[in-house]
Amino acid sequence: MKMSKLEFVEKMSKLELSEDQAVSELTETLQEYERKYKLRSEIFYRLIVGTPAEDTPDFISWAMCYRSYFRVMQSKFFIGEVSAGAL
Amino acid sequence: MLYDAHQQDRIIQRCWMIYELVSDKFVPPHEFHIQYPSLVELALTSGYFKLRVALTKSGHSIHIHEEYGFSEYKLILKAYVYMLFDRARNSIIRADSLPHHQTDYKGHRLVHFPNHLHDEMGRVCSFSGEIEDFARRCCNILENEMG
Repeated sequence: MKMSKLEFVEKMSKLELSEDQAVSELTETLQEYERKYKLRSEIFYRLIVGTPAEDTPDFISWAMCYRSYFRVMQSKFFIGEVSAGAL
Repeated sequence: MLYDAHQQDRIIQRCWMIYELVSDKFVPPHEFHIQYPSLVELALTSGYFKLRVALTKSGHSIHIHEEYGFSEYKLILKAYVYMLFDRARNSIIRADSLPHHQTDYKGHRLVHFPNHLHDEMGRVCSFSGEIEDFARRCCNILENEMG
């Protein structure tokens, strides 16, 4: 049954946001892509993203997931610089 | 935490808009309403929103992926892909913002570059970039297919 906006906002206010949980979920998704395409995410990002080959549904989603993973890791560990060429 | 309270509020508002859109335009299964908060939780902690919902009546499914960023205090979509699949998991239409297409299939410049849509024939068409327009187009396709 559809939530009302009030119910939705109440549920949001009760969320215990966890970066560890986010990392776990994003890692799982990245690993699914890596198994499917037999390619590590770092290699995929360097080789495919920014080229016309990126123009497939899985690759667009994979790239978004990878960037998001890096954002969370940077936030979690206060990394000043992302490893060279990663993003 | 990646986002401050104001930014989290903007993401929550965006996710509510998507929730309302999917709930009102389509017939998502009961689980959709139960699981939706956990999708928002991932968006709030990572800036990545990922929704895959099977539509109860037709067997079609809609996938919505959005990546959020902020320009000062305004939420922006850094990237997105919206897709409609048939029951056999074949892609019917897809909208995204990758900048690899400059023109539509007729050779006209995309009106809202880099936003574009791959239609039922696989042709590149202009697209506003608005998720409401994608949902409207999905509704039209589903209505035609359901008779």
